[in-house]
Amino acid sequence: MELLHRERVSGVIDILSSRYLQGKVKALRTAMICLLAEGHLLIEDIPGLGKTSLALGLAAALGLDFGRIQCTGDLLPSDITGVSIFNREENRFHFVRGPIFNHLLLVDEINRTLPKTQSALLEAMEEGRVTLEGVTHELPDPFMVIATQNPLDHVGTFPLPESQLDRFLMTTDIGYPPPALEKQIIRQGSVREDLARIEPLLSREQIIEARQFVREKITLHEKIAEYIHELLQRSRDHGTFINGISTRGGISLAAAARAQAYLQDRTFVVPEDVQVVALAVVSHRLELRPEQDHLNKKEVLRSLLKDVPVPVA
Amino acid sequence: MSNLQRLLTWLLYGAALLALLPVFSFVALWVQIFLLAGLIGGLLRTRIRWNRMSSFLAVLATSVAVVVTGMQLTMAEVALPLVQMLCILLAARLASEKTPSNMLQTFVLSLALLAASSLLTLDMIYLIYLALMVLILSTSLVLLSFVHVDPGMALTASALKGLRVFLLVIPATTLVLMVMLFFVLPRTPTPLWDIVGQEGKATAGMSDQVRPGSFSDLAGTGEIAFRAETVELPAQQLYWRGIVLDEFDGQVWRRSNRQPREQFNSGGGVGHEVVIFSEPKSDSYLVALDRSDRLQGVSHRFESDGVFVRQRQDYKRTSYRTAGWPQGTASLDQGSADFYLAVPETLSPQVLQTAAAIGNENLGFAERIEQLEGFFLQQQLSYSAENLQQTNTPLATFLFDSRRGYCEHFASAFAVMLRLLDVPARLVGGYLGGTYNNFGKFYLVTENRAHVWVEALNDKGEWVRIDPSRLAVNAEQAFSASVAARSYLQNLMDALFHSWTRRVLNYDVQQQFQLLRETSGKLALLRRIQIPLSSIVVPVVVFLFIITAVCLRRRGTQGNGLLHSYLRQVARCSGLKRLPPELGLYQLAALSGHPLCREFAEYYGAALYGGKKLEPDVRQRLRDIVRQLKTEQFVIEVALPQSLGDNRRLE
Repeated sequence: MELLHRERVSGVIDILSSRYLQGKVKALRTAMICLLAEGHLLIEDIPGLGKTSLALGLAAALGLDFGRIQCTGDLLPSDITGVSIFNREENRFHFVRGPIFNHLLLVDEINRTLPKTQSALLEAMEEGRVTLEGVTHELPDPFMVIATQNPLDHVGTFPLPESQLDRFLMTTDIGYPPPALEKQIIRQGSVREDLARIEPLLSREQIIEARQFVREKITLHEKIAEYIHELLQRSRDHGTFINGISTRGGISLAAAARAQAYLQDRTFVVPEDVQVVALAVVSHRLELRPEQDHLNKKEVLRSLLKDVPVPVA
Repeated sequence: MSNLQRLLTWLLYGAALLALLPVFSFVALWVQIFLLAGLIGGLLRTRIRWNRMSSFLAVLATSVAVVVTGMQLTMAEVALPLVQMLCILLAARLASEKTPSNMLQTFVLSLALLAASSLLTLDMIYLIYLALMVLILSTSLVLLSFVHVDPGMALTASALKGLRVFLLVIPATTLVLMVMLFFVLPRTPTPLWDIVGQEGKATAGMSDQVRPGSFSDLAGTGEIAFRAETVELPAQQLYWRGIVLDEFDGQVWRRSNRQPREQFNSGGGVGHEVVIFSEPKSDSYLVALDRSDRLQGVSHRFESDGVFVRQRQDYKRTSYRTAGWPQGTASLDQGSADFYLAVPETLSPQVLQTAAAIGNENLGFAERIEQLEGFFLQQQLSYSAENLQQTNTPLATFLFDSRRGYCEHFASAFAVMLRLLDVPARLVGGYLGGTYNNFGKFYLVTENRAHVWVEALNDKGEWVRIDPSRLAVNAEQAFSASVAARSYLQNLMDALFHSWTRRVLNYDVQQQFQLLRETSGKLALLRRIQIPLSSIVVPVVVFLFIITAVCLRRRGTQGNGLLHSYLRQVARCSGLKRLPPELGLYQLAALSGHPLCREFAEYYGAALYGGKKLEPDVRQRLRDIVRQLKTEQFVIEVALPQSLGDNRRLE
């Protein structure tokens, strides 16, 4: 049985990663899982590795509107959401939509802006709507934020608090492309022009249907729920982290695992799906204890995954 | 020839051999030759080129042989011709080509022949033959069904091993069923078709007349006369009474048919129930412990002098139940004592003179006996059964001349002398003693224990048993010598044989009813014990619960067992002692890169996590995968899945 639109969805990943966004397959897959699981993506990496290209390519291939916000220290919430401007001719206020009213929103360097603005953005991400001056404006569907932040940059930043980080479904990095590829990219120059010419491979409706399919038709067996819960429990008892994975983290794990199962052409989630998405889903939600700060969070998480036997019986 | 066919051929010869073993010695020589020819023909079949002519000749020879044996078939003679006919057919089938249908026919013929052999002989070993035959037949039928579908089919060693349990369960169940059917199938009180042991054998031993001095040698045989199941009795009570002889004509003691009436008084002592299993014999007198008043199990006539005479003569093993009263006395009716005082005219003068010398009108019974015994002792008579003189006056020769003789001499001389002394006397023929078998709790009495003794009427009109042979000077040696010691093993074998005869061969409607009675008696006993309902219901419920739980668990672990064997197999393939528990099925498949592992993960994962049911064919396929993995080997680098991809690698 062919899963609904799966061929097209994986076609998007294949085409983008092979033709336009070489060396970004992990980020692409993560982004696609986020899209399918109705979550938002946080890319933690230094600038200039192709975050914008990724977002642009995704938007083009999926046939979605694309908006971009470059966060700065003086960015105000209204710069994101939009403002009401008085129209003298009509003698009334006219709402001018901000960039948030796009399907795919790239928020660059989200940790550079004020907490106030961050919070407005994250609230909009969570709620799916914006309320301004007593009027509620629905955000478009599908709506997905790809936020980036520079992990090495500390001066003049406002690091997102844990509670806010929790709203991102997954984090990923992009990393440097392999040398051969990088040389090729250097030779060819930017692919922005090509990205603009990508024909949409999926329609908006199909994306909505696929998301619905993932949510409703991919079964998550009780055993997998137990497995996820066991992971949560172990992270809480681990002693290396300040807090364990929250319940929302568990929900997110399940949702991401569903999307991963869908991408793997399965109607049910297997423990491997959870294992695959676990690092991306969980790592930004956990904070190491100060005395354990020297440890690599991802390595700790991997050893945690190794400690939990997969349910086979 | 595949290994399956070879195995079947061996089984075929085994079955034929089993069927032929019991009958081979019975069939005629030409049938034996026919059988050997068939066997050799079958063994050499693959090497000889059979042309049309030779097969035609073979068919002709078989047909003629069958017709010839068929003509021997009469109502009186059924068994042997039938067996021979089966033998010929079996020989023909052994020689024929080993096609599945021919093989099946051979097996059926073997079974029929083994069954028919029971018409000729029914030894204990038949049980072993039967059990082996059941084993061979059930195995062969299963294998035959394979060969029938695919003649070239060869089974691997592991497949045969898998079949083994199956092949053992069928015959085991069959044997249990056979035993059950043996007990419950309806029986008749007399055999419907009595063939076994029709040829009667007359045996030396107890006879219906006593002719002292008629043999020069009395070589008693060691053949078994009868077995008597009873408690162990004192040696002096072991007189097995058979026949009473009351007329003497100077040469021969005979039995008249005018016995006066007698009254039997059991004496109030302890009665012994004695069950006697008599071997086939030619006379019609039924032996019982001296003295018995009742006999059940055989239609008989009870004569007034305490002799049981069988109504219908047949030469076969019989068993009957008697009640023996060693303390019992029989008293003769008043006025008929004269019958036991008759002496022949032809007695030798020496005997008459001796009697006259001892005789005294005033003496009582006890004194007369004492006097006579004194005379016997004085004569220094010796007990011997060899080199005896044969004369016309056996008693005089015995008493005064040779002074050697056996029990008949002693008894008839004593009885005649008693009669001359006015003491009513008669001869009793039967058996003395017996070897007690502790395993079977029975006395084994052989024909060489045949004995003759005297019964004399005392003053109160009661019969008293006197054994004059004990008056011999060498009585003790003579009697102990005749009792050959039997070894432990002999005793055991004898007890086994006895129980075979008793429990199996003689199993009839009576024993069936007895079994039924005993069973129902035990059931009634059970019923009498008051058991509260709850104590039955609770265990039953608990039992059912356990059964259900076990079944459910089994059902749950059936797939589980499959998974475990798969995981074991994968661990073996990859050379790992144990697979890391964090590796899921799909990851294992991905790491091994093996298509079989991928298939297993797909099927099993769908059942495990997708909630799909494992269909039997899928389950079978999974088992096959595990089996096929046995020969595989691959490397597994243990790692958690990273299939979100690596940006640093070109895909």
